Amino acid sequence: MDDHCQALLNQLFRYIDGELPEDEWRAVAEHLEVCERCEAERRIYVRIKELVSGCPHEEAPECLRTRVVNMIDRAKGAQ
Amino acid sequence: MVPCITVVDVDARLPDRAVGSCAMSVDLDEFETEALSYMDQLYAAAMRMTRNPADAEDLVQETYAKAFAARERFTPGTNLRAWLYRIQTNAFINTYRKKQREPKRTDADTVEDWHLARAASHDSVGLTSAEEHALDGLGDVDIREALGRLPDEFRMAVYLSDVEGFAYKEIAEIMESPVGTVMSRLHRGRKMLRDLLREYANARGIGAERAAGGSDG
Repeated sequence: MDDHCQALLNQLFRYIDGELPEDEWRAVAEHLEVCERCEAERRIYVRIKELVSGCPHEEAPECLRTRVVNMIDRAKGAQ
Repeated sequence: MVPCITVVDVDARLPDRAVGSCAMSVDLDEFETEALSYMDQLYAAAMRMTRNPADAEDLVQETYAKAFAARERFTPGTNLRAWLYRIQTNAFINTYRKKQREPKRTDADTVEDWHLARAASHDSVGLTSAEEHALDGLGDVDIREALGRLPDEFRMAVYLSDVEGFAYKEIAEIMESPVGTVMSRLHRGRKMLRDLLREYANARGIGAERAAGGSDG
C-alpha cells in the first residue's frame, strides 16, 4: 500500500456518500480504476451501506399515532 | 402496552376541526400534517436509538410534544424532517441515555484521530472478495444486531447517512456537532460495523470456504 492508497482511504467515505467536490471525486475515481485493492474496499463499504439502508423499517404502531394526535389536539384545545 | 393494529390511513383518522377558528389554524394544520407524515421514519430511527419499542414510542411522543411546543421557532420552508430529527436526537441524548445510565462512550471522537483510525493496511484482494461474499450471506437481523452494538453517536451518524440519506452538513446540524466530528463518527462507525459483520460471518463459517481458496463464481 502506498501513500496514494492511504490518501484515498481517507476520502473513501466522502466519495461513497457523494460529499467530494468534483475535482477530488475525479481523482479518487481515477485511482479506483487502476487499484484493485482500493476498489475492493469501496465495494465492501458500498455493500455495507446498502445492507444498512435496505434493512426493513418498523412502522409506527397505531397506538402511538393515536397518542400523538390526541396530545396535539389537547395542546391545541388549550390555546 | 396498548394493543396495536396495522396502520391504514393516517389522514383519515385525524379528527375534524373547526375551520377558521383562529388565524394560525391553517399554518398549524400544515405543520401538523407534515410533521405527522414523518412518524414512521422517526419511529424507525427511535428504534435504532433506544433499541426497544416502549422507549421508542415514548421518545417519538416526546419529540412531537417538543416540536409542537417549539413550532414558532421552526422556519417554514426549511427542512422540517431534519428539524424533527434534531429534536429527537437531543431528546434521546438528554433524556433516554441519562435514564439508561449509560456512560457516555464516544467523547473521544475528535477530528484529529479520525483519519488515524484506519491507518491499517489493505487486506489482500483474496480476503476482501471472500468478505464481500460473506456480507451477502448475512441477514437483516445481523445488520440490526451489529448496528445496535455501535456506540450511540456512531450508530446515529451511520443511520442518518445511510438510511435517511442526510448530507454531512445536515447530520452535523441534527447532532449539533462539527462536520469533522460527523465524518469521524461515520468513518469509525462503519469500520466497527464492518468488523462486527466480519465476526458474525466468521462465526457461522460464511465465506470461510472462499478465504480457504474456493474458486467457483
